[in-house]
Amino acid sequence: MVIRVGILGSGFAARELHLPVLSMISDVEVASIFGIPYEDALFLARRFKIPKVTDDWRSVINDPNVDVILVATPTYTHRAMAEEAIKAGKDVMLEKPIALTVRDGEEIAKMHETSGVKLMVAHCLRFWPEYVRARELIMAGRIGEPRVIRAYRLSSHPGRWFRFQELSGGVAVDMSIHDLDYLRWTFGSVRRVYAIGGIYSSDSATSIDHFMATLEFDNGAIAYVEGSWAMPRNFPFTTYFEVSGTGGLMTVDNQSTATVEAYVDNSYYRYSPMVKNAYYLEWIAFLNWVSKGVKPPIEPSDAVEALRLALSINKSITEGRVVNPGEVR
Amino acid sequence: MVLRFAVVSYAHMHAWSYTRAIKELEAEGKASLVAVFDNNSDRLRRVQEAFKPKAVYNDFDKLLAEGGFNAAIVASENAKHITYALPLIRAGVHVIVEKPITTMVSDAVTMVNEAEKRGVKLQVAFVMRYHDAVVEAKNRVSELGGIKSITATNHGTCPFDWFVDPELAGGGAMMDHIVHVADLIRWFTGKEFEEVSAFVGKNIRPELKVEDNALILAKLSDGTPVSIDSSWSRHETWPIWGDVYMRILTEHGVLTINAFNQNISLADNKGFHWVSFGPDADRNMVEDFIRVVENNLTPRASGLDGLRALEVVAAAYRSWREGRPIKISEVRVQ
Repeated sequence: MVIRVGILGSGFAARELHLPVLSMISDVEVASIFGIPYEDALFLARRFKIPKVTDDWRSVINDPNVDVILVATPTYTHRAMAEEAIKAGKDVMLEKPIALTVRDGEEIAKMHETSGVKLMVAHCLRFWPEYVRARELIMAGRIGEPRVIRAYRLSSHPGRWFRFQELSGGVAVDMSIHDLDYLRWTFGSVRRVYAIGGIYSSDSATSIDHFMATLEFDNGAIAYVEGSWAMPRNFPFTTYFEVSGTGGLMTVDNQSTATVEAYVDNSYYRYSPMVKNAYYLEWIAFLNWVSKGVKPPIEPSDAVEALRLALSINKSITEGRVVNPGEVR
Repeated sequence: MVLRFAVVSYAHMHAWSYTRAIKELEAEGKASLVAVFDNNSDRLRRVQEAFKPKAVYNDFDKLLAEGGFNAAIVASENAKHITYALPLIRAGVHVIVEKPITTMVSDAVTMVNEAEKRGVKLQVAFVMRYHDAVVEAKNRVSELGGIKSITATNHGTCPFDWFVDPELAGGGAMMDHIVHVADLIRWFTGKEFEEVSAFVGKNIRPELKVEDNALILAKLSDGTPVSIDSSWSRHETWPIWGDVYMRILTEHGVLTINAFNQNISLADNKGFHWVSFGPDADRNMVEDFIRVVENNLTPRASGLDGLRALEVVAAAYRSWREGRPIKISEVRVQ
């Protein structure tokens, strides 16, 4: 049976992350795409041979020829679109973060539970091979009990709607939520958060684009988490993960493990091409849920908890004190 | 005038490389090694064999009484820094004291004031200020505009020995490893620390009586956010003892220092190692100290710098105890 996907969004996530892998998966066909401006959606429709293009997102959701919806629009639209899709009985792949507030996230999770519609939040770190393998090593006890963790995610500023805290939630909610979800998934729940940071890039209007946070887990481990959009334009997107435990130490980063480097005039590229990358694997997990009933390794409630941690970081920065994530509702 | 050195205690292993630097300078006619003291007779014998100083002492009072030196390097256990350094200062001897300057802020104030009063040079062995990569980066960073944020680590393996004795060390990984990078942060920015938060996790090595990990977040006087990971989080089989790392975000870019990255990879039947071919910061520091004394200058890393870095440590311990960020003004002793 072919699963027909309707795409909401024609920005970076749809263009660079989802459509390339969807075009590789047999048994999937992209039936329709919504985007603003319309020309962006039209461009993707032509490039990926999508039969229907529209600037009316509801028409994609209500299209009887669409089985599942990908929500890859800006975060501030997530709740409205996810709710509409659930009401229409469509299974939903929702880009992270689930929403901008815990309350919105909880509403989405509740609708998913009561409706029986499948909803997966695309926390791709749960599928990136280095993070999956690192977690396997941790779970197998290779470093003993985890104690001190470091995680970075550093980038230049993405601009556009990310410039506004009220639209994107800033770098903690939009980008470091990857690490926060992964850390919670791997090390359990967090009882204390302290963070410092602010607006450090001239590209930000109101969004907190650079922060440093410390987390204390219920199991007594601590983590340093840093997220930044304040890096210069030519700074390579950099991720780093380190865990020191009672039995060992492991580190992994995306720069020293790159398999391809290219130097072109004043620029360079350093990357690790992988055909079955995290976006491919998360789609396979979602499609297995949709068609075979196999649950993926993330629940909507996990996405809400990751959001709660990201918002705890923002709250700590704003209030200048240690925050218990339970305070964030 | 050639500076005549005494080395006081080899409890801290850095004393060995400081002495080696003095001996190198002695061969070049720039310094001389007059005396060494250690209260551990086994250590003293090994030092005597290695460096052949003119005199050896296992009695500190006797060393002080007989004199014959005008400079001293104190590399004892942290808690004994003041025990040795203060009488030396009072005797008019110029002193390099191993970091941290002392374990108590009030003792550090006493040492700084005493050196001031006696007109002797008090230098703290913040050797990273004399590391070529750090000096280069400090010169470069001013071309990149103002500093907006610093991410720093000073990781290490667990040093065990007296370093894990709360009485002698005055603490664990925070006492041992915050000061180096806290000092560099002050030196690079020209700003003071304002507020310090410390998260300390369950110990990596549960048998220790001191903390072996800590994550510090701090704001400088102008609000600049900085972080320090001072953990002894390097496992024994890690290819190198640890690191000094700083990623500095500036107005116009990012500058990263990885000071101990100059290594040869070596695999042998004992395992996999990184063997350093980096610069000799210890010798640079001793040489600069001689220059400071001879020309009556202020040390690049002074007693006051040692005191300010120790205040950051004191604030970190208090933050750990009280579970809240601590203002430096709350731990400052006038």
